Formats: sequence, C-alpha cells, structure tokens
Amino acid sequence: MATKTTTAPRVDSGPGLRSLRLGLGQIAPKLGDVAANLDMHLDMLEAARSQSAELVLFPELSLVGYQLRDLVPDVAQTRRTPQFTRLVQASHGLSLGFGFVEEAADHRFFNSYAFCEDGRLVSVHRKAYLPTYGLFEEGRLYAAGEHIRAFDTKLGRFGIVICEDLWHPSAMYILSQDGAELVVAAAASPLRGADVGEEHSNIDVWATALKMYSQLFGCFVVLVNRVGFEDGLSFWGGSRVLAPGGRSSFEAPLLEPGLFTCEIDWNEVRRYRVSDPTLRSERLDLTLSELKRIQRDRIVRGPEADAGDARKPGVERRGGRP
Amino acid sequence: MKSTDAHTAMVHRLRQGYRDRKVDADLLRKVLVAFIRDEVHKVGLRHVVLGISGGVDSSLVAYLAAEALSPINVTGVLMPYRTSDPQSSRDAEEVIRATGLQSLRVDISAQVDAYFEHFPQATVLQRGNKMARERMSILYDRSAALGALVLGTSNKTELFLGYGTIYGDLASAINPIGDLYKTQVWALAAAIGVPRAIVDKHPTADLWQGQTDEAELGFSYAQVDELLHFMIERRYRHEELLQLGFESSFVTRVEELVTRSQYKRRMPLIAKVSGRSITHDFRYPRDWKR
Repeated sequence: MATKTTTAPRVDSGPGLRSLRLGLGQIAPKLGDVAANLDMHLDMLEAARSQSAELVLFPELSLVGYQLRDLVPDVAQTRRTPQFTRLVQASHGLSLGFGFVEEAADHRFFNSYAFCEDGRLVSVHRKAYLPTYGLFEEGRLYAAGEHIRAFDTKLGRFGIVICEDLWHPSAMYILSQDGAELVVAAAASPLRGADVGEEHSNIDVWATALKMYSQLFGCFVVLVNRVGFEDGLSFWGGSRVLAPGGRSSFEAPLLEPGLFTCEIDWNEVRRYRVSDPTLRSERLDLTLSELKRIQRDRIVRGPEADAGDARKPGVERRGGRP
Repeated sequence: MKSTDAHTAMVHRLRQGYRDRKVDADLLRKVLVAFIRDEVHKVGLRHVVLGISGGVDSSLVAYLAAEALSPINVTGVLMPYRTSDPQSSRDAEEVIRATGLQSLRVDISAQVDAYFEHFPQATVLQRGNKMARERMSILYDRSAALGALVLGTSNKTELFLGYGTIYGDLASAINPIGDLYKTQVWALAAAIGVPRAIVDKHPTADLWQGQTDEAELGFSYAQVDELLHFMIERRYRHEELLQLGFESSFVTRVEELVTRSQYKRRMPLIAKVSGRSITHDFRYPRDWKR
C-alpha cells in the first residue's frame, strides 16, 4: 500500500489535555511459528482493548521472530496472506502496529512494519537500513526499503523506524520534516554489555538516542522492543515512551514479557513546539542543497577521494568552497 | 604521535578504565537465570544436569540453575577421580547443600583406570582428557535418564584459550557463562553468594595433584582477561597492545592459543559437495519454532 503524503484533516488539537492510551506489547515471539505468534497478538489485542488502549504496538518482526536465517521465505506474508489480513482486521476500534516479513510481488523479502486501524491497513514501512555486521546478517536476508515517510492516522501524524533505521539520524530527520508527531521505533535489540555503565551497553545507547530525538524533533518517540531468547541472544525489552523535549513518560521493565499500558497527552507536541520552535527555523532548502553538493562531489571525485591519501597536503579536495 | 607524557597518561587511563569496570550483577543474574529457564522450557523439559567440581564456574552455574528452575529440577553430579583433591569434594558438597540441588556421586576412578590398563604409557594430558570425557559421558547418560539438558560451565577465558577438553568439559546443551571472562565469573559469583572460599581459591582443573590453571598457563586470569578485553572486545591490534604495555611474548602466546584452539569452538568441518550443506548453507536457527 502506498503511503499517503497528502495532509489529511488533522484531529482537532484544541486547548486542554488530549489523552491517548497506549499499549506496548513487549512479547517474546516464537521463532518461525506464525500461527502461535498470531494467537499471541490476538490475545494481547483483546487484553489491550479491555484496558481501553487506543494504540497498540508490537516489536520488530513480532509475527515471526528475529533470528530467522533460512526461515525467511517460509514465514513471509503478502498483504493477502490470511494470517496477515486476520491481524489487520483485528485492529477494529483501535490503531495497531506489528512487524512481519513481507514478500513483494517480485519475491523480494522485506523486514516490514504494518500500521493499521479500524480493520484496514494504513501504512507499511520497510526497514531501510539492514544491519549486516557483528551478530547481524539482515543484508543476506532482506531487501532494503526505499521509502521513509510519515503518514496520517486517526490519532495524528506518525512515522515508523525499525531498529537500525534509528541509528541513521537522516531517517529521523526525514520523518520530522515530513510532519511526524509520534515516531514508533520498533526493535528486536539483543543485549550487549555486562558491565555497569559500559560504553557499549546498548541499553544506555538506545536511551540516549531516543531522548535526543524527542528533544531535537519535538515529537513523541515510542520504543517497543521485544524480550525472550533466540539461539543465545537475549532481547532486553525496556520499551519506553519519550515525550517531546526528552521527558521520560513511561518505561516498561527490562526482560519481562507483558502488555504495558500508559497514557500520553498528545497536546504536549504543541506545547513543546511553542516553547522550543526549532522546527520553524529548520532550513530544508539549505540541507538539500548541501547534501546535493556532497553527492555531486562524491561522483565527480570518484574513488580517488577516499583512497587513503586524499587528505595529504597537495591533494586537492573539491567542494566546501564558496 | 603525542608527546611521551601524554602517551603514558593515555595508556594509564585506558588500563585504569578496564580495572575500574564492575559487572552489572543484577542485570546479568536476571538475564542468565531467564536464559536457563527459557531454553530448558522451550524444548519441553524441566530439568538440567551439571557436573559440580567445587570450583567457581560450576558453583556459579549451580546457583543460577537453582534459581531458574528450583533446586528440585537441578541435578549436580560429583565425579571425583582417586587423585582428586579432597577439598574439591568438600567444596562441591557445600554448593549442593547451600543450593539444595539434587545430587549424585559417581567415582570415575574404576572406568578411567580400566581403560588405561591397555595404555599404561599414557601421558598426563591423555589421562586428563579421558577423565573429562568420562565425566561428559556420565552427564549425557544422566540427561537421558532424567529428561534433562546438560548445562555447560566453561567460561569465556578458557574457551578463548582452548583450556578445556573438546567433547569433554566443553560439551553441553546450553552454557550460561560462556560469555563471561573468569574475572567476571568471580565477581558475579561473589555477588550472588557463592561461598567466599570457593570464589577465592586458586582455579584448578584438578586433573593431577597440585595442578593450578595459572601455573599451567604461565599467566594469571587477571592478566589474560585484561589482554583479552583489549584484544577481543575492543579490537586493539598487535602493535597497539604493545603500546598499551603488554609484554610482546605474552601477546604472541595468547594470540597463538586463541588461534590454535579455534577448532574447539566450532562444529566439525563438513566437506561440501552438494548445493545445500549442513553448516555451510543450510542455515536454520537452533531455536527453530521454539
């Protein structure tokens, strides 16, 4: 489904509080077992509905598990696969996000995240940055998504990033410029770091990035990270909500599975942007023209530019000059 | 390159930074306990079995397993040989008592000695390896009898140095402490209440009388863990390790030990002749539909 780029009528953000009840499905999917995971989603959706949640979010690849390797084609779904449509339909009366392996018509596979509401699919984000280093091998398994776009929902304007996407500030910048008021960061992040305050501890690194983005872009950032174990990897959970400005609005426990609900006040977006109007002064034209110059220079300079001696005195560097 | 003083200060800061580290015992305990529980339950079992030597590694795993599955579901097996240090048995008994595990004692002297009657010239190394593999065969037999998984107790330091017997003490179904260096095992064991006497004693494989790991290896765990930290975790190259002040011969020796023992950390090589071969391109996760 094509993402909408037109601006639909916004929900009225009149004065006062506008509370939104959020359900974070911090689950441990069964690796490669779509039927079992579909049941897990449906059960948790029912629980969320009984707790009056308006927005329910599941982690990256929540319908299939993470460390799939050769299972990818076995668990992939098209948008007509019965299990996929069943879950979309289950979003009646609320908004729902979940992760799955998407098979395109040309049989490329994507690490995708579906957003649906009231029983229909609103938008799909295909993970644009596939980690392929260290313990990660997504570049072997998936094609990279080619779009990063915000979209309108009945709750407000949303953006989605999937795990590694978040480590590319450009992805968050694009969503910010595209009007996102809430960014869903769906993750399957394995724990690394056994020491207190370790610089490579990825829990701390994530916390820093999420806080920074919600400050810089004046939007809600919602991390929904999975738990459980796969082949020795431990997924740390700790799903959380950062309010515009970086305030921690909610934090789910580390490692524990469950449905965690919280309330946010949507009008915090407006209040923060009134007091800290950096978005107003952001210069898209300047950013674009400089990025285009950098792109042009890379093409013009070719491989010599970074061949190892480019920074030596006497080697002319183009660009950067008025 | 910076001035000598600045260089010295930087080296001091880096190495001090390593020494100031502190394991996140609360988090590690939660993760490792959950790991044991999750991996055992998801294969449809409730029990585990492990060898209890009286050393800190198996003691730590015993404590973690008891917490994960409750002591009634954990069987600790004491497997002394006739030359084993009696203190090892006493420490093992203390772990069993403190954790409340089910326990079993199988003296391996008769089966080991019966075999070496055929090979009286066998070296100390052969005898040590044989003992380790007899213990493994007992644990796997008990695992079938009890419907249990075998817990591994090798730490990251010995796995990197190859200081273990392949298909002996290196064999297990799941290993909760294989990503913890020996010094981290000590810290975590102390934090979760393994008796101080066990944490503080000299580590030994106890394969012959008077053996200690550190005397046999020729360096201490504290020394080699610091080197492995910079070499493996932080990816410092050989020349950079020397600039950090590690002895050249020490660095070279450890590099050789790590390289030479790589085979112990991998499954056997399979000669690829088909289009889709096990270990090469039949790449399914082990926790497939688990």
